[in-house]
Amino acid sequence: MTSIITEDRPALAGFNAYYQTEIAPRVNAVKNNRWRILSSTRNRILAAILPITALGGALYVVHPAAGVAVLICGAIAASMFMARQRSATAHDDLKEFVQEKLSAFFDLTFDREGTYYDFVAYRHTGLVPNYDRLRVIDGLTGTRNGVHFALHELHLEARKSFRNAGGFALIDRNTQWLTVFRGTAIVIEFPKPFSGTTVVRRDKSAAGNAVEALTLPWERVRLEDPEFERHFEVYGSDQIESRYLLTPAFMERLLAMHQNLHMSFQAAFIHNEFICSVNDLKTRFAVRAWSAEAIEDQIAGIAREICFLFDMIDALQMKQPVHG
Amino acid sequence: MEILLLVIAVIAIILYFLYVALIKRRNTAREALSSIDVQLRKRHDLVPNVVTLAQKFMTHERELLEGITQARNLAQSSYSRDDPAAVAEHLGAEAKLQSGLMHLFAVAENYPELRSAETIQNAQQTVNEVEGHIAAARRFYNSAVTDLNNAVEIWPSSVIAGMVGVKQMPFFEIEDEAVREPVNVADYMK
Repeated sequence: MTSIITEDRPALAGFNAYYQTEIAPRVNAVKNNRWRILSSTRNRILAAILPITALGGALYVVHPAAGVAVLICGAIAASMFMARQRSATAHDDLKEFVQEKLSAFFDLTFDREGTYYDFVAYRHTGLVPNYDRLRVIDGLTGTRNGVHFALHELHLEARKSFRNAGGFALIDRNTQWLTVFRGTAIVIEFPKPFSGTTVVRRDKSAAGNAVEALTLPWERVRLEDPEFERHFEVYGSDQIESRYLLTPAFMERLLAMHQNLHMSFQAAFIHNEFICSVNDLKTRFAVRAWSAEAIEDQIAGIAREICFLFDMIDALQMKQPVHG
Repeated sequence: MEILLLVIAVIAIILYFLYVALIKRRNTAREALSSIDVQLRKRHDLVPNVVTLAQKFMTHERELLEGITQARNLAQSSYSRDDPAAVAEHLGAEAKLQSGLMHLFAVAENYPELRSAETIQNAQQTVNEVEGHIAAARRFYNSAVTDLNNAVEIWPSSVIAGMVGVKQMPFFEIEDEAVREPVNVADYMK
């Protein structure tokens, strides 16, 4: 039996055997169907090209250059559209299947609609930049050792509009969408009730922090751990509550997470939840390949990402008393 | 002459800002002290319940229980927040009360009936919560006092502090080694 992942964590125990019995047959089927799908795509492209050729031919009689242009552009567009559509459908089916199977193995729920969370708190606390368009790529909800959590892959974009000579914003043809965040948003229930807001943001050097402090509605909370202070700036609506939540032990755990995630981690306590964002441009749960080896690598990658999430929740020790 | 006036004006402005910063720090430290008192009051409210409960089972620990009650009374007495010595005395009394409480929970280890009582288990949770808030308030207070004391000690704000009578304030320190350990009453009540 070939193994696709090293079962070096308790959560991964039995994963390879599960993969072989539950997932591998479908992956192999995708691999075997590859030629069938390609051949079907080719037939569809040919079918689409026929009317384009007829149109191009008719045009050629009237205006040769236009006829050639229609023929070439039409053929290319039809080929690209058909190939993309067929491959996307095949990949989406596989992705859905893999997510379903992984959910069953790890006892999780994949939520592709992202309905669990409204992300308002993320914007409110500045864990994600201002955006005009939000797309949830994938969602994952579940419980780890009694702690409920939700994870969403987000793609946030801001509208960049150009102004005409009169100073009016042009938001139609001239609008560009700029990616301002592509990463992961994680919500973890917090065991203790609290009423205020505490935000842990990345340190932005003395000048950056000073400007940020002026724009935020919360007070700066200065904590006693110099290492933590070097990496983060903490703001809170209640000085005591912020310190109640950010105990020295919890600060150490956040610092460890920050070091694992290479500077891209921010967090907040709000509405009785601990939320955090990781802006690392990663797509964590995609399955998009034709060869069985590449698909296996991607599935192993997803399993590792889920384990990382588990490690993170375990590291935060959410079920342990805040003090004690 | 004009240059001299300009220099005097600049110095006056600098002194004014130093004065403002100093007073702000003193007020923050006072605010933090008030916050501590709010949290400590929660502990004071808990002490009679814990002591009454313990008295039922810990018949041989009368001295300890009386000591805790006395420490609570001492800690509850009023004090002047503007007088650093009075503040230090007040915080010292609180430290003694906390030390007494921790000692009580340590001794309670020898009383299995007390450990298994449902009321004491509920009390444990509440005490944990309260101690957590007190620890947070203490961190806020000590942070504010550090800022204030730095300003009072370091020149040139030390000069202004001397002129307007702003004094250093004492830290809320825990002297007892046992109290330095994270407070988890559940450990004592297993």
